[in-house]
Amino acid sequence: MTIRITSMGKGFLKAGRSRLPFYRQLLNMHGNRHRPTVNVLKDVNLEIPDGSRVAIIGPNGAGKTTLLRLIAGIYKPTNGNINVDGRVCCFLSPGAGAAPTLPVLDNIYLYGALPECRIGKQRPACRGYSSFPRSRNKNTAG
Amino acid sequence: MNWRHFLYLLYQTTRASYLAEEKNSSLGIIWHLLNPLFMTAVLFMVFRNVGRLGEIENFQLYILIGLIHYNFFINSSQRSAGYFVNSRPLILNTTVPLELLVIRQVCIESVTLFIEVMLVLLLGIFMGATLTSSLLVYPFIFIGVLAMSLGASLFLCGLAVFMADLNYIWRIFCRLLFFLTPVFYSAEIVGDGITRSLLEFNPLTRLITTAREALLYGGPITATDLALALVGPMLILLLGLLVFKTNRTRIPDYI
Repeated sequence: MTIRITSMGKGFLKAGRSRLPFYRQLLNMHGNRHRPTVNVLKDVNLEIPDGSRVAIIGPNGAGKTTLLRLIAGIYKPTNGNINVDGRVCCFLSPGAGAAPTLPVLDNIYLYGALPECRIGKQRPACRGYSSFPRSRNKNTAG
Repeated sequence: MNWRHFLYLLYQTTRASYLAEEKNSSLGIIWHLLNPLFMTAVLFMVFRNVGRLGEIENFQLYILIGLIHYNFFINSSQRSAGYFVNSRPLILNTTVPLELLVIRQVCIESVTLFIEVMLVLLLGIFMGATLTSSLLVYPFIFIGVLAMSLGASLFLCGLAVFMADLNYIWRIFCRLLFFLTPVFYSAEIVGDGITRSLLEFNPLTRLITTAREALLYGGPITATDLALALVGPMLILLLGLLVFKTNRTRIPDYI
């Protein structure tokens, strides 16, 4: 898989939309050009060749997570291009999507389904967890 | 993501949500049945002696059928209204399709509706209701209610992220809709005028009327009746898809 980013930028609107009155929310929904934006990423150029391992390091608020979300396709870039030749298996935060009230086995099935694991692949992975009871009231993942 | 994986993911997430919701409940799914049953009992006791309402054949089941379809629509759409904002970690940290999250909300409620319809059929048999070949039309009504709920859910999910007030507006709308849907009365008693026009304009009216014919009275349902009942829901689904598709890419930026 190759990831190629050229002159990419990402901006977010500055003010929270919910603070605006309803009629302005409705009127401004598609007219955000005049509202101030924060440019989180500006003119990013990056190429990650197939098989390489890359660490993205930076201070808090530098835009590391935003960059990863852009590569994963969660955010769309404001300008520039991102070409991903392959499939992104994305888990940016451990625990996202898991149900803490469900047993471990149920969470394995749920978690395994999220990153496009092949159907049935979770089953061999579950063998190691066979000692976890499937009780609905005890031994929850949380 | 191919369709097979989409359906698999839909099944796993629906199952997980359902299990998580029912986990700490002592009666589980029974609560979903008790809610419309108690509501039906109250509406029946209050309205059975009001005007011509008591003359409606099997008035209890008449109310119950109206109530379960109305509940399905409002529950699934209200679930969806604030769902994206509450699911921020899931949306921003995984590549789960947003459409799947909306469909899941409707699927959770459709499981309940399916069980409620089974209950109506059982009660119908017990109370001597007529079951005819019209029952075969009911799956189309089920699809119609599903399409309408999905359309409203997509519409709300597509807009609620940008308009926090929409959640409150929708709740008021649902309260009004209860009285503008023939749940505990028949459309005929309203007479002519603007109220009747509003009832006719409401797609739930035709869906519920046809569902009653299929599940309770066994009356003939023509292809025209069915087509008219399905036009409104399909238009709502199209509108929902359009709004959702227009705003889809900007949703993660706002939540």
